[in-house]
Amino acid sequence: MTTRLALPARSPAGDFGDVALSPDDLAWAAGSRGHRLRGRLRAAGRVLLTPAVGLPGLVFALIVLACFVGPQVFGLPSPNTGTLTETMKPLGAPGHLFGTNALGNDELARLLYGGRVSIIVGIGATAISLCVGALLGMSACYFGGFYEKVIMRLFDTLLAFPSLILAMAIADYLGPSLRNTVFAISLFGISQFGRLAWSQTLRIRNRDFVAAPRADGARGRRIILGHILPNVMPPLLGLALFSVGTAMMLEAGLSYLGLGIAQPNPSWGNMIADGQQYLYQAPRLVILPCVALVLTVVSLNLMADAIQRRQATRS
Amino acid sequence: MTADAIPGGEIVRVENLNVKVRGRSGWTHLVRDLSYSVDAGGCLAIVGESGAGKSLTIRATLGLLDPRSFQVSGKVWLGGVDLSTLRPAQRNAHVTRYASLVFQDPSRSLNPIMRVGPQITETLLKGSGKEQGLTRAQARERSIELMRSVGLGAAEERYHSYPHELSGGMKQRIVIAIALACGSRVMFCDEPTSALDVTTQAQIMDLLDDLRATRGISTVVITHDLALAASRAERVLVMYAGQVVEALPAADLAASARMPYTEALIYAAPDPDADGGLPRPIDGRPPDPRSPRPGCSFQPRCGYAAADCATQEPALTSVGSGHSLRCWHPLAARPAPEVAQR
Amino acid sequence: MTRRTTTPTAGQAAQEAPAADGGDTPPALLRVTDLVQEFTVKGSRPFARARVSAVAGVSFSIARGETFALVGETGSGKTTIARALLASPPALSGSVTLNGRPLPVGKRAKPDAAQGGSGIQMVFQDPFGALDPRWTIAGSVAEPLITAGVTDPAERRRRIAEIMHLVGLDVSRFAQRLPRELSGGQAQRAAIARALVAEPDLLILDEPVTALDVSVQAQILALLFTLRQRLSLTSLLIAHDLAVVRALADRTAIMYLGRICETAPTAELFRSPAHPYTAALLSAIPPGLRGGVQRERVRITGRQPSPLNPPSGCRFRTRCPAAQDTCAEAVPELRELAPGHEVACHFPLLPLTTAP
Repeated sequence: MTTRLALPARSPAGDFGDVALSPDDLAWAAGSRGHRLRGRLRAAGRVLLTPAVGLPGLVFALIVLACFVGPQVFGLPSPNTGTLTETMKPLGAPGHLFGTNALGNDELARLLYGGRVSIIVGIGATAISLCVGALLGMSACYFGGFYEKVIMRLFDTLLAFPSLILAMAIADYLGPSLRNTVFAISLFGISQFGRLAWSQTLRIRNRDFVAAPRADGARGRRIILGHILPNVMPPLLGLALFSVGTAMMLEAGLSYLGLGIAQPNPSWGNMIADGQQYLYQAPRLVILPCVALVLTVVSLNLMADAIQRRQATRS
Repeated sequence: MTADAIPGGEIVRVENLNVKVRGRSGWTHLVRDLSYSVDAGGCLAIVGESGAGKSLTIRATLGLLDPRSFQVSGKVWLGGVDLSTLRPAQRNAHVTRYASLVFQDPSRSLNPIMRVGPQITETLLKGSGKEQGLTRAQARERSIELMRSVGLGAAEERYHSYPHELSGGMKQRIVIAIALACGSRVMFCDEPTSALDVTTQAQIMDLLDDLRATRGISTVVITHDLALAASRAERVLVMYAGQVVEALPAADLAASARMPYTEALIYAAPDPDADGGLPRPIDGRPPDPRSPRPGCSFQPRCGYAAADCATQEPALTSVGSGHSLRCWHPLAARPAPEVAQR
Repeated sequence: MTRRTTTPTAGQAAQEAPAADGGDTPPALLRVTDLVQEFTVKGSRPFARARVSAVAGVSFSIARGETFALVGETGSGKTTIARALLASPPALSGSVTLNGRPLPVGKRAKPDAAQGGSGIQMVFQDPFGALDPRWTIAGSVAEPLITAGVTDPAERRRRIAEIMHLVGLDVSRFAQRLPRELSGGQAQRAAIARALVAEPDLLILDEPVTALDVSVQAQILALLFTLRQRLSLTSLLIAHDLAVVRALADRTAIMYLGRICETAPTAELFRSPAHPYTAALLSAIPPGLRGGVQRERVRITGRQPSPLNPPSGCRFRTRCPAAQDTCAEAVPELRELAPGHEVACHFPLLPLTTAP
């Protein structure tokens, strides 16, 4: 076994008798890992606490909380079990804060349960788009060659379709259900995230901190996940926040057209569709889900805006 | 209210220049009590580490600093005219007419989407050409002549090139040609050759020498390369922490330098001719202008520091013909070393 | 505790004979023979492709413990050679052996981590470019160890602490910092630590001090000098600054447009250059302030020829003040002038020792 560097002879303990490390240095060497994750979490926490990001974030968090925990906490009835004796109660009616709809279902319960669906679809579809798109985009740019060409043409194809038409076609083919809606909406997002990841990777792939481990023989997977992903993430996360809003709007559109979530399960989209016919008698049936949708999407967009502005001023 | 260069007089004179920048907690004093002058047809080099305030000095001289963030005081004479007596619009016109600034990266000065020839022509037509009533065709001819005079071969073809098609040295020559087209009498160069190859560096410096000899255009060169300054300039100004610490003629610089910082700079730069002499680093770091300390600013890093250096700030005093120092204990004058002829 | 083992085999050790000039020169650690690198670029017409001849048959060798400098201006091919040694991208043809082991050459060649990578590490010009901005310094320094297969985290931390101490960075202060919190000099030290932690056979220094301020330059040069002494480092220095080369390099090669013009021990090269290009380079730099040598200015005429269409024969002939007809007809080969001093010129400034 050859030691290439003629370092001062190692002591039997295996360390350098000669290199006098300070006690602080020795303490560090004896320490353990785990700082990085804590540091990152702390940095993320700092970002969230700034008012520009924190306030819209708080609004969004409250909405999520209300939708997922609210019905249990407030003891609301199920959104589908209304009786025809309770139809079209107005706002503020006893036992029904927001009234009931034509089938006697409690509007507040429908709003909250519908919110669950919209939020799940929004976040779920975006998460899938983000993961798949980012991986494909990064690997396409890093490995290049024929693989890259194929992936980029795939992205181009997906982008060529108008998003709603694409989602409609898929949802129609697969049939309306929560899972199929998530899938249909995520498909469009894949090429958006993919192209962004590709262009960001282009920026970094020839940098020295990528060239060095590559020359050492590190595997592509480790370089992509370790070096390229963390550097490409910030703009991707910004896009993701905006995309949640877009996905929710897409779902609302699909459900409105009857291709998303089917009755009697509520979703903000199909609540708007239902409420249309009663627009003059009980506008609240349309207004309430619209307001909920707008509040959620705007708070997400404001958060994304503030985060992107922070990143821009920092770099 | 313009005056042409006074032959044999000073083309630039700056007295008591002070530059402060607005920070979070008040003003930070970046350039302190700086005075310098450049004779017509002369070459002054300003040398110092980064952060010493060299770029700020010339930008302040030319009035290029944003008044919202910077506070500039002091008197500046350009071409014999006191700039403070001019109204802002007149001042801008006068400075544009008289002086030009050549940056380290020529790409910063050239319009990337315009061919280089027309960039010179436009400058001519807007500036001196307007007075002389040049037609577009005449301006074009003049531009090609200018390109030849800055050493660009095949000027007729290169007229139609875009900046990205030219090498760094060629772009720098175009920038100089534009400066000549303006009719500048003094060129301020901020590290004009740092980004260039060795031979191109020499060629650009030769060009500046040539322009001085044939057209009497003065140059002020900022550089961190003391050897370059000593070989090309007539006078050298050494700056540290926003002040001039030594001003001396460039000839025999190594022998006549007496300020310890200058000596430290001489020994810190790698020398192509020294046999086995590693450069000696200067301990410590330049002072933070936000927290000024009493006494000489170089004292914490000075190998010759004495007790009084930490308490009182030395003033700039003259120690000979054209040589002034800011030091309580300047080094003793040394005899000139023998220079080997190769 | 796994370490890469690349002991030269018996046969290869025999081949690693002392340099051609005989005597007891140390055996070559790196031997490069006839390295060729070309790139395809877009031609002037649409759909046209042009070949750039970046490196046209370069041969040199570096002895163990030696610092060898490659000097040239932009377009000379020196950086291309460094990248070819790292196989990113690998050279088109030629042979490279490190410690008796052949390194990947050829379009599809890739460095192999199982074989211990290439045994070459590089320090780049931009200290901040070499460090991932989102990784801590300790993480960046640890990476080559992980690639080399050092799995024990305690062992890694110990080696990181040692190497950072050697480059002059306090581990306790700097290990958890991010690159943007460091100054230029500190970042370059971290980059040097990263390059040395896996104990490479050869260290390539690509303009290591060009981006640094004067006094910081001196600190890093002093550090590199100390490390060389202490660790018996073998390094390849790529530079265009002749002063830095004089300070660090034992032997220097001057390159022009993809070919080596002259190779000599550094002091001798500066004292008595034999190639007109070397003389021109040396005369173009301002004389040093301490040593003060006034050189007669050798002016090179004309423009740098395009690498798409390099001149026939000697590539320097279009700008050489002493060019003659022979220069256009035949490519000058490297011929010996004095022990260790070779020059590729038909009419060198100094006489050759004997007829070849």
